[in-house]
Amino acid sequence: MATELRGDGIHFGQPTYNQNGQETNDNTYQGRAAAVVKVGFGSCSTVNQSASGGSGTEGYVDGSEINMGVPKASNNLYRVWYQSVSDDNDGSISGIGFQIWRYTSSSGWNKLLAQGSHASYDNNMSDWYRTNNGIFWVQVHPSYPNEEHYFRLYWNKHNVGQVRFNSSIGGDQRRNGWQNNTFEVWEINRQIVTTTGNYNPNY
Amino acid sequence: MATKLNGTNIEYTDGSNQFTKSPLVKTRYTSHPTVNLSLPTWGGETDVSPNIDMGVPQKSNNWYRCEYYNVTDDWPGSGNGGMGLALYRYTPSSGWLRAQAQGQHANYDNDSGDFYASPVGLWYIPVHPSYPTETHIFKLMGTKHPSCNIRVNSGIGADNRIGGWINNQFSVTEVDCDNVAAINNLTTY
Repeated sequence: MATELRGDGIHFGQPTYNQNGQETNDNTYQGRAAAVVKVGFGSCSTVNQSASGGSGTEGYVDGSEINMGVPKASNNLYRVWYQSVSDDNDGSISGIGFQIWRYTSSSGWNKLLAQGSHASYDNNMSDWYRTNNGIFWVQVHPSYPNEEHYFRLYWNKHNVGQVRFNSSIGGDQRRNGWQNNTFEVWEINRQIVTTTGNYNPNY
Repeated sequence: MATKLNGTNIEYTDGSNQFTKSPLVKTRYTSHPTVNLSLPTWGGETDVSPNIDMGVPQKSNNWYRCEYYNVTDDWPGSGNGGMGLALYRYTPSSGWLRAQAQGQHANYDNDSGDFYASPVGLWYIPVHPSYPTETHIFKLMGTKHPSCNIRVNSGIGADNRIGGWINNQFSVTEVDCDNVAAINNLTTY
């Protein structure tokens, strides 16, 4: 069967897959736009990056900047996902949290959403490791939708103890640029997001 | 309204518009079936997921987005204990590769009594550069450090494990990399 444009959508000329990962030939077509428009991903570059300094100190997560280009629609959303591994290096009271920042040439860098200074934390429980993660939905800048959109991660810490993230750990396997962390940004077609509940990312 | 081909996009009957091809090619997911699976001490690893067979990738420059979630417990709570998972890739010609690994105690407490956590992992793994026309299979393996008991896929009071879901999830998505905005710092292998 050749790929055909029909009234109800596009019918493909090869097997496609349903939501259970099963290949299907019949009645398989795309009847609405794809939810995901564009993908950017990578690994932040510094292994054992130190979150040092006093309580409330924050800093750039090295190598996290992703240029997502100009969005396809002014009301599109960005789905941001990160994962790292942190360690309270000196074993004292300490925690860390991550933030998502957005840039356009007219707006500059804006802090959008932040988990707080100790989204993972232990109270002086000696050596302590955590797999940190976060999911953030943010929006195209409402005033500058025609400009390139960049995204970065920042960290914030509490209290004064030493924290490292993107940690090297015995038995790990960090190859070809992966440093025990992953950061991804997906541009999402707002037409396909049918509800955001009481969440209005209009900033 | 019928589906229409416009100058720069496809316009569907619900009014939605698509300007580029979908970056997501295929998704498959699973859950390891053994509740309260014990992990071996580092030096050994055990399977923490069934294999996910992603078939032959659509293109040689694609990547696979691999994600897991679990619930762990250092039962009975005495001693230092931690765990970490590794992501393995297989093609028939290459065999299994321990592609990336979090380490033996990516999730760890220092003898803090009974202690639970919900660790996660996210990796982007490239199509094998030498065997892009072969079936690609992925799995997770786990290890612990140092020696106290660690269980994963934990059975916990008030949990609700139905439909084969055993308090863990593993999913793999093939990503079409003709349309990626950026691949930061990662190279193929």
